[in-house]
This record gives sequence, C-alpha cells and structure tokens, in this order.
Amino acid sequence: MLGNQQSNFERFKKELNYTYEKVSFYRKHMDNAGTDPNSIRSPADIMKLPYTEKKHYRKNFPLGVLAKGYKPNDIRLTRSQSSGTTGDRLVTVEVGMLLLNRALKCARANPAIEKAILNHKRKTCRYAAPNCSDVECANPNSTMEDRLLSDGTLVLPVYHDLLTTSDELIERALNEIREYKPDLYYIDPTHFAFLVRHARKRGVTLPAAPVMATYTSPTRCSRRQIADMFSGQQGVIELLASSEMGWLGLECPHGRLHMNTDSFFLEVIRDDRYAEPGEIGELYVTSLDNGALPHIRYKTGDAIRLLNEDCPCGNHLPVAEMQGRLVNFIKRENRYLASPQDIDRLIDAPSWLDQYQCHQVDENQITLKVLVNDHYSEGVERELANEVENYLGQACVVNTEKLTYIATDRSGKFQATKSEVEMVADVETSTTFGDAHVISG
Amino acid sequence: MSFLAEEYREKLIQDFPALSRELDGTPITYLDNAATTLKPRAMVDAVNEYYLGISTNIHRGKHYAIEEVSNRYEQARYKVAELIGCGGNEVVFVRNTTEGVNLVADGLGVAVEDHVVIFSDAHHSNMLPWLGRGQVHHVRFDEQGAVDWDHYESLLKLEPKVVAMTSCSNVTGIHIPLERAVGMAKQVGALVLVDGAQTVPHRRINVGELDVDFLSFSAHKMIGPTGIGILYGKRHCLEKLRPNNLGGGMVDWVELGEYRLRKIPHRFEAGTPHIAGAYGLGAAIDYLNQLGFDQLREDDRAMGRYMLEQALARSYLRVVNPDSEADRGGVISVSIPGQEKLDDFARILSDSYGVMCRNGHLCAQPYLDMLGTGQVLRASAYFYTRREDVDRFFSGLDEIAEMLLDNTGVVGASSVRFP
Repeated sequence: MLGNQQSNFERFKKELNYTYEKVSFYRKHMDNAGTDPNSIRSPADIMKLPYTEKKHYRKNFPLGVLAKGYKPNDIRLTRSQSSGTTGDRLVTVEVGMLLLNRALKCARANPAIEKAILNHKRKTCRYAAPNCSDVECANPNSTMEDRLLSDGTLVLPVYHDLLTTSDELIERALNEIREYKPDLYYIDPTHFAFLVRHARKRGVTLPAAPVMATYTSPTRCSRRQIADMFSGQQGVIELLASSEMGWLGLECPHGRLHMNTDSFFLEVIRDDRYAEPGEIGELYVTSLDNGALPHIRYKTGDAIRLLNEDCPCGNHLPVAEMQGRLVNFIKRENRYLASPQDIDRLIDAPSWLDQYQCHQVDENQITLKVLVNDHYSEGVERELANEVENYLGQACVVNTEKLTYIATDRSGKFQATKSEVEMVADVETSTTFGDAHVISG
Repeated sequence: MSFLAEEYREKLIQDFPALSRELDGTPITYLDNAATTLKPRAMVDAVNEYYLGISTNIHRGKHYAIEEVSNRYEQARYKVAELIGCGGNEVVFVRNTTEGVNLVADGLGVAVEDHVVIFSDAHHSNMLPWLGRGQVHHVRFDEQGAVDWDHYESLLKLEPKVVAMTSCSNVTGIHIPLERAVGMAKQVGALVLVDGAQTVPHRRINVGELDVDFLSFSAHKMIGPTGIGILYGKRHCLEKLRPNNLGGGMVDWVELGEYRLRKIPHRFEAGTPHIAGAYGLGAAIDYLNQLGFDQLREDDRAMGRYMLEQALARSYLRVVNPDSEADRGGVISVSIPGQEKLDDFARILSDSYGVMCRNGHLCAQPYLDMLGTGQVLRASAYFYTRREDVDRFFSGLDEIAEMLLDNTGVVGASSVRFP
C-alpha cells in the first residue's frame, strides 16, 4: 500500500465502517465474502476484504451504491457519465466538494496546475473523445455556447473517430482556442497532439497555458509534439484520474507522477500480494471521505509501478509510474510480457513519427502501425519493430504498417498499445506478472 | 384474446439462446422487440447452412451449386408470397422496410403537383422518403394520439396519388383498421403503401383481400436476420416502378448506352443479394407458421391489454394513446410528466434490473412532439415474453421512480463536472 500506512489505515477503517453501514450493496458484498469491518484489525487484514469492480457499481447504481441519505438528484452531487476506457459504460456521482478537495490535494504536486485550479474564473479548454463529455461536441452544428459548461470549460469540437475529424472542425477548434484564450488545457494527449499537428501545418500558435493530459496516458511521441508547441513551459502534465474517483495522481514539474494518498487509500496488488517498490501491480483504490458513493478496494484495471524514491520537487506524495491498462499489456501464455509503458519507452519519440499503435493481434503476432511525417525515411519503422521483438525475446513476430489512418476504440479513446489476447481468469497464478517490471527507466 | 399456454411459451423460449444470457449476473428481460426481435437457433442454423455450404451466388451460370442456392433463395420468396397472399413475382427482397418505402417513393415518379397523404404517427421511414415529393399532407391525430378520421377523409378529397400509412404504430402498438383506411384511399383512386413492419410479425396481412398496392416489412422484426426486408408490390405497380439501383442481375440485355430490364421482381435486386438472409427469412417464416398466426395474434393482443392495465395502474406514468378499446398489440409507450429525458430510467432498468427497453422519440418524433410527451419509454413484447417480464419492467420502473422523482420533478444530479 502507498503513503502513511498507519494514519491512512485509520481513515480506511472509518470509510469501511461508513460504507458497511450506509451502502446496501457493499454490506451484502462483505457478508457474501464472510467478512465484516470488525475483522479488519491491521493493515494486513485488508487483503481479506473483497474487491469491487466497475460492474458492481453499474449494476447497483444508484439504488444499491449510493450511501443512505443521498438521492441521485441531490444538488450537492456532481454526475459523470463515461463509456470508459474499455468501452464499459458507467454512470457515477459524488459530492462536488469532495471531488474538488481530492483535486486540490492532488494539485499540490504541480504548482502550475494548482494555480489554474484555484483560479475561480478559470477558463479550461477540453479536447478529448466526444463521449467523455455531456455536450454534443461531435456535432458539426454545435456552437461554442452549446459546448460551454457552467464551470467555464469549453468542450472543443472533435469527431468520435479522431483521425476522421474534418478540416472544418479542426479549424473551428483552433479558432475557438484562440478566441477563448484558456488558462488550462484539459486534454486527451493523442487528441491534442493531433490538433497541435494541424495547428503547426497552418502556422497557428496556440496560447500558452498548462496542458493537463488525462483520459489516456501520454506517449512520448504525443509529449514531443505538444511540447514543441508550448516551449517555455512544462509540455505535458499527466493526470491520472477516473470518472469514479476523480484525481488519483498528478505529474510534478520533475516529471514524476505523485499518487494522491491524501485523498485515497491506494494499494498496488501483484499476484495476490502487495507489490514491492520497483514492481508493477494493479491499482486498487479506496475513497476516504465518507462521500455519496464510497468505493472500497476498487479494482481500477490500471497498472502502476511503485518507485521508492524521494522526488526533488519536495512533494510528500509517493511517486509511481503509470504502466497502462492491464487489458492492453502484451500477453502470452497467461503472463504479462510488456506494459504499454514498456512499449512506449522502446518506441520513444523519433522526429518522423506522428502517432503509432502497437497492436497485439494474437499470442504470436503484433502489428506496429505508424503515422509518419516529412522526416520519415524508408524502413525506419522496421528498426522499431525489431526493438520490440528483441524486448519480447522473439516471443512475437512484429509486423509493420505505414498508414494514414488508425481507428480509435469504440470508447473514442486511442490506445497506443492494445492487445486482443485475454488472460484466462481461472488459471491465473502467482506468476501472471512474469518479468513485466524488468525494464528500468 | 388469450395468452399462449405458459408451458408452450417456456418450450419456445428454449429456442432463443439470447434469453439465457445474463448482464452482470442478472438474467436479461428483453422488451425491445418492436426495434428488433431475438433470433431462434433454427433461423441461425439456416443462415449458417448457406455460409458453411457451397456459398455460391444465385442466378448466374449453370453449375450445380448455383441451382441449389438459387432454389433456396427463391423458395424464401415463395414463402413470403404465401404468407401475405400474393404472387411470387410480387415479392422484392430489399434491405429493410425503409429501403422498401424509399424504392416506392423514388420510383413512382410523383410529380410536383401530385398530392401525397401520409399519417403523422409514421415511423420516420414512412415519412422522410415522401417529403419533397409532390404536395405532402399529414393526417392529424387527436390529443390522445388516435387517428382523426374526419381529417383523413378531408385530405382524400384532394385525390392524392399516394396514401402511405402505417398499419401498426411502433409507438403505441395500436393497429389501425386497415380495411377501412385502405378502402377509403382506394375509393379516390390512390395508390396505397402500407408500412407493415409492426404488423406482419404478429398478424397475417392478406394484400389481395385488402387491395394494398405496396407493403413493406423487415425480417429482423419477425425473428429473421437483419439486412433483408420485403417489398410487396402489385404486379402492375411493380411494372411501372423505376428501379433505383442499377447493375448486375437486374437486366436481360446490355449494350453500350442501353439496357433491357429483367422481369419483376429481379429488376429491383441489383447486385448480389443477401442470400443467407433469404435462407434465414425462410426458416423464420417456417417457425412462425408452425407456431400459428392466430395464436400469435391472440397472444399479442392479450399482452397489449395486460401492458395497458399495468401502465394505467401507475399514476406517475402517462400512456401514449391509452384507448382501452383500440386494437392493441404488445407494445406500450409511457412518458413521465416533467421528465423531458428518460435516459436514466432506461439505463438503470438495463444495468440494475436487466430489463432492456427503448427510450427516446422512437423514430416518430413528429408524433411525440405533437402529443407533447418528450421522450418516452417503450416496452415491446413478442411471443417469448412472459407476463413476469412485463411485471419486472413495471416494478423496476416503480423503484426507480421512487428513487429519482422528487417534488420538483427534477431527475439526476448536476451535469457540471470538475475537470
């Protein structure tokens, strides 16, 4: 687990008691697992508690998962509706002030973001998959007014399938940014890199403001393109967030991801045990603020690697490295071979590359798809493919495709590394993570 | 009016693998049959029979497999002809009801000065194809949602070239007295097109007896495959209809600059058709015939009555056309006064209760706008629907309403989100 173990454990116990008392689904869930809050006496006991998953919240929303005393139409609640990274939909709510507090605690990791968030007249431009917002940003007939949320967020227009976005919509997004003059960009990095590419082609300079990247993890290639547009400031600031929980981690000015243990009880689980520093594991999150929709040991499907080091930025929040969604890891024989982060490290950010997708088609085959620019020279993508093959110990053949279009997922998000290979749950053993942590930064 | 025997229904349910599916551990209750029905194993087997066999083309060449497959394709056409009481050459295979209506609207050559009468409760598929063709007049409906027959009669005095009607509303499940509606139109010499998408799956329509000129319906709403629909046209009407797709399979002779159309119905089936779909459609018709259309009709009526009773027993619901005397099938649409959108209701019914129904404007937006309902929730049954399934829909709705409705009538939390 992350953070100050003892003080967070006390808060964890309070949240557990609160949830058991107030949330009908979770009481049943614990009863079915044969546990109750009294059986959790030390941090080591936490592993006895059943985890929760997205499907539990979807199935029981709102009747079973809202804490007693809340109704979905409570004006204190903020609602979020998501198709999810995996296309697995979810509606969730939480007390708006709690979400704000979580964000503020997390924002302390990065002064530029903290300053932007504390600005009550903040003007945010959002550029991400259309179904990540409640407004019709994929509708070419929508106006700026249609897409302006009451918190000052302007949702920029973009098509669901990013690379099919019309020139007209790109032009409109660029014009709206210049007109709105945001003091914060809240973006999906793949989407924003795409927009930045088109801005450069048109000779357009976008107004400077912190660029906070969420929805998907930024690749080095996206980072390079965005940083080129915003020289003189930190290029991309990664935010690890979810619709359900809010802000879970934020990148500091030194490029380290600080996990928000002030707001959450965070566990990193690897093969049914806590991951050691340096190891990759799955992030489980427990809320700690007795909210409207408390989560206990919520299995996020995100993998992180704990880094046991102090950050030169001075922030006390623990440091980790995002590895990507577990479903997107390269897998073989029911073992994780490489994380999306591992693949991204291998691909890096060559000047000729605009966008890539490393797609594991089956256990033996990967296709490396590349979108290239004028710096491209024949065959360079093969060198990258060879690096990936070598890293995987020749376990998979990596074919290459130079393309002008790569489809986004149904969720509207673009996964730079994705896999069609599924882990088989009933043969999951203590070795599923294999050596996926071996590469160091 | 009587339900199918429950034991028999349970036996039929076993033919539908989808009905044993669960959503997050909850058995599903499928009440979106007006949109598309579920598919029985026998129908899917027939589709597979084509694809796993020598899946050759039809009517092109002389090898054995072509003959075999062409025969099966044409057999499906004859089954449709027997089903609706017409000649085999009066059955055109199209993609769906919508394509059938478009083919007629496009091919009739409606002149600017011609009058076209359409019904305001129409699905968009029997409304939009007519717009911009001649002078279009919409038959009014009263505030309950029932046909204004006087208005219809007054519009017929314009001597329209075409009357396009919907035999059963996809919103209300109410079947209009087709004999009356068609008869009135024929008296003024109009061509009559019937959108039968919601009727043919439940009741026999005999096009000869009714004197209908065109009838369009879809296989997927009657346990058949998607991608194949039927346009019936009287022989002489089809002869005059202009095909809107040109290409292979629909011509007898082609020279540079001119061609000679094949006989009906083949001239309307350009390109390789949905052969596997025809196999599936044939199997679907066999299945329904075996079940018996009299039983289907009576079960549908009994379900319609039951759904209406359940809806009327709930004061927070407003039924679209609650006329208890109407000839009603197993479809009910309800609105909740004060609730413009019912997305949350539909989503929770699905995700928490496993009840899959439809919400929105049901592709009949002008009709619902006219009634001022906003979005509606629609539950629609088919012969594999149990009364308990309908009970689950309404009891789920009760619980959700208790949770979501308050004195202000506001549902849901703020959509404002902190970044």
